Amino acid sequence: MNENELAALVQDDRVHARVYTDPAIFDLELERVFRRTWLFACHESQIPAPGDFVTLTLAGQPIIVARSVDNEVNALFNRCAHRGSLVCREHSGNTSLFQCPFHGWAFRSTGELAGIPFRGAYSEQFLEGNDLNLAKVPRIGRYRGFVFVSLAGDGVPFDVFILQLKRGIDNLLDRSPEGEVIADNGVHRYEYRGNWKLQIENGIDEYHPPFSHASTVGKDGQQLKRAFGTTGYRYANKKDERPEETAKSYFDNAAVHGFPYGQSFLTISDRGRVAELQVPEYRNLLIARHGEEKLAEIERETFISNCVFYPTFILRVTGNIHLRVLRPISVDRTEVLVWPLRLKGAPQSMNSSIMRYANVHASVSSFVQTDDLEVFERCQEGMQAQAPEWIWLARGLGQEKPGLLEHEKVAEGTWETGMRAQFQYWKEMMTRAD
Amino acid sequence: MQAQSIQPIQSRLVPRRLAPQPIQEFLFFEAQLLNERRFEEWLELLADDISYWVPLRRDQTDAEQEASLFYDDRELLTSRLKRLRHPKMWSQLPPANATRLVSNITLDAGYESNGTVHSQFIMCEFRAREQRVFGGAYEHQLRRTDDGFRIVKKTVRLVNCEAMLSNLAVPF
Repeated sequence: MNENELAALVQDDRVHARVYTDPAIFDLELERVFRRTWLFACHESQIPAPGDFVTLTLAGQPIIVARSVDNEVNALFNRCAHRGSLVCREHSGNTSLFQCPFHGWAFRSTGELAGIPFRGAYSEQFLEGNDLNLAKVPRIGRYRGFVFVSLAGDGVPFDVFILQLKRGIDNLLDRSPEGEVIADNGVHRYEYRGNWKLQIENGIDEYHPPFSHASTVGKDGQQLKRAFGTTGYRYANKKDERPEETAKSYFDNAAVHGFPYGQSFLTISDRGRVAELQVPEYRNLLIARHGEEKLAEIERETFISNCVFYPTFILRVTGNIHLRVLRPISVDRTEVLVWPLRLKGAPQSMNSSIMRYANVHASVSSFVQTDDLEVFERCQEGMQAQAPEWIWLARGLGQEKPGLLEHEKVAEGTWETGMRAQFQYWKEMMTRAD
Repeated sequence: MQAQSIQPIQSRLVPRRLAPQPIQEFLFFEAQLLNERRFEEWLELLADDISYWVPLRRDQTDAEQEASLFYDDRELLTSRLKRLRHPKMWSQLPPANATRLVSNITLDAGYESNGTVHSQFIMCEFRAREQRVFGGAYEHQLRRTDDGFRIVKKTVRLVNCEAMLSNLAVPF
């Protein structure tokens, strides 16, 4: 496919179904989107001590993120310099050396070669003339504990990539009595048979809840919500809105903000969004950290629901607080990982409630995500049809208002502004051949 | 290597005794209700203080501070089963058809009227176009009542709980 043909797949109000179903386009995406932009790698709380590491697959490539003895965070390719084996199979752990199982070459957490068995058979010229370390991932970007990597040596700078979404990270960390979040209480790991875009788009889709999640929105309009310090869920008191019969959705009270680089965030429509901040046990801790005045400012800033870092990462900032990472496996298979977060220093009952709410909301056995996964798979099957060719992303097109930042577009919750921002960047990347 | 007699190994590795017939029959009955999707009747077998737990990690011992696949009290489990009957529960349209084979039903060494009933299970499930096989260990804590046994705690340890799973809707 040439650049003109690729460009024609994305139009203002629609995209061609091939962008979800064509294996050749998927291969090109790995090269031109995933290997060029910033991908979420891990949270530093997953590797708190020297020697701690996590392994992951990014854009189909095996990677280790490890904390070395000098406390540096290193992103390395998980591939022995000698004959190519993975040097580590565990998802996480602690080690001073990664030793290859094949011929015993060993590497430090910095990637530096630590030893070669029976080295006498190599000439000094060979040993000194070649790079025999674990290769470093070209770029690593860190913001307040969130670690991203780029597989390309150049491209959009990390500070520019993260600019629009700092607001969500900052607000989340401000709501921790110690200014940190921790991802150490388990990870939900699952897959669906559908294209990766279906999950990243879902992070800013407030059109779908009354329909996809009809079985958790009862006749009386009730839906599961997290409550502070309980068993992790309660029913919200929401009036029946008869979604099929009205022109406006309850979720239009939320807003979508679309940005360059495919970035977007979704705000929360729930008026109870700051209710949690009123719980005395927790509020007192926040006052002790910030003071009343700053806390009032934090309350006003507590309006983001999801920050969507295109193309792989959704940070759930309020309510069901978690990290959600997607990893494309093939054009029609995607892995999803969900780490519930703890707000460091917050009451244990609150953190337990966040974690338990992820069980019922974001897991593969949950009340909510199971609907989404089923619908993603139905989309993948449906899009095999030869007609119609197009997927419509036309809601609210041209009706957005400008936002605070340059190129920011502010839309109502059900508008497809976030998806359009994603595809605009997709088109930009996919039609650039260099 | 020194040869060892079989008996010491057996007593060391199998310190459990076979569960008496009423307990075995109860576990078979429970599996039958789930196999036949008689979820409301299954609920009647559960104590009011039921804890239904499917850990997410192989050696997991805590569900309060660590994520789980299922960690349900009666209220949550009731909602879950009610949802299975909802006409728009997309991931069960069409519904899954499953069979559970329960075996190796044994009791903790010191089991009196309480303690853990251990068993192994294989669950074969078919939905839409796909057949899946799950397997693992059940751990039941039972309470004797005038109306038969009630399940106080059921833990399901899947052999592949750490795998990249796909949708799970029906209790094991």
